[in-house]
Amino acid sequence: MSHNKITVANQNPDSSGEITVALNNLSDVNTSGVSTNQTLIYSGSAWTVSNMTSSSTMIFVGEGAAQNYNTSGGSAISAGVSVEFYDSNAFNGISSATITSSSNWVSSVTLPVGNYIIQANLGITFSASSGEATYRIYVDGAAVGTTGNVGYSDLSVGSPAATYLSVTSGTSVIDVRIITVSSANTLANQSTRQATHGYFEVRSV
Amino acid sequence: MSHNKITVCSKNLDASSELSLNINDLDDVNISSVSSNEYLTYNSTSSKFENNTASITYADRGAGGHGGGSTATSAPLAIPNPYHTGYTYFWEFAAERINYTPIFQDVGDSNSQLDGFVYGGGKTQWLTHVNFSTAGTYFLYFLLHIGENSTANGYLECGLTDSSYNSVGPRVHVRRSDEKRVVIKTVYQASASDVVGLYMYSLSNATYTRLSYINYLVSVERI
Repeated sequence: MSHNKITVANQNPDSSGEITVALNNLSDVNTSGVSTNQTLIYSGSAWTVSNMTSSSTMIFVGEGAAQNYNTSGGSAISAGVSVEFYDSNAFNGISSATITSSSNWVSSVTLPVGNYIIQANLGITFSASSGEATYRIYVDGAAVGTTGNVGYSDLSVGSPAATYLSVTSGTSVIDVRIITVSSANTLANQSTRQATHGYFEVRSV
Repeated sequence: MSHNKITVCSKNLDASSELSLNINDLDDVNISSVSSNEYLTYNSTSSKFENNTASITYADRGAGGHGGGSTATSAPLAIPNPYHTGYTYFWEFAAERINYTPIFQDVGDSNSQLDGFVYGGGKTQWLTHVNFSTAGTYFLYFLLHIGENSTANGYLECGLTDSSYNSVGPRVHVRRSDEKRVVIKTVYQASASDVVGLYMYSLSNATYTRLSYINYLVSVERI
């Protein structure tokens, strides 16, 4: 048998009988177009190159744009109302999660089975220096996690509301609602502070 | 010529015509002193896949201060930023490295000290912006503190913007009287060569903070 009948991974021997094999020669590997710091990832049928990413991903709503809150679908700031968040390009990296919005104002997020850390900050304006509000994250209509607060003197945001959430079956609808409030500006006078300073963040863990 | 003259990746057939190959025998792989949970990542300089450590975050934090000063100062901040001529509305973060471990170097390669982080005004330890040399989705998490030499009513109003100063995340507001640090965060879907920095919308009676304070965190995580 002669050398030229022998191939390994479709590679022929050189004149000394040596066959050099690289990753990309393997039948289940494709490294074409690879660049520095990319790694091999299994795609289900083959190993391909890809950027490394975090094992978790997230939803983030809040681009900081100056939009008056009275352009949202939200009601005047009062106890029990759900607060909306502005983002013209809200990021949703959680598979099967959905964002409910109208005119770029996000009213809720629906999450599939999984474990999540959720945080929300509100930017509410007040008509008096004594004004303040508290708020919480709601899951399917029930309050969960810590209470956030914002006051007149904070100008923007106080402390965020946060929670850990485990959705064990079906889906859960998440929104943020006012618990207590005093001396809030009217809807017309809320200005742009919620759009510029408010955010809603969900991280799958 | 017989088969035993054939070698594959410099390996010879054994007496039973068996040839055993390890991944490190492949021509484009170089594994050295590998430990558990390391990854093979490509190095375009060597044109080989090499073993590297990897974890989630790509972070830096620094002692407080501004403009490369070495002592506390009561000099007021100003807009535009007088300390550099590039993105003059970008705020500078201290970037004295502490426990720095580069992970996702593909965030950027424009600075040999801290890939992806760009320093301004000739103050080599002061971060002005992040340059995303690689397109992708990133979670940005910055921590900012207002200088302790600010007057009681001093404040900063700032947020993350792109190079055209378009907002890419929610603004924050921090006041001296609050004694607060604030978290500035967003998810940014970057195209290659995009720039994000901390834009100062407004300020009043705010000063730099003291070098000995650890007041800043800059974290860029690819998600």
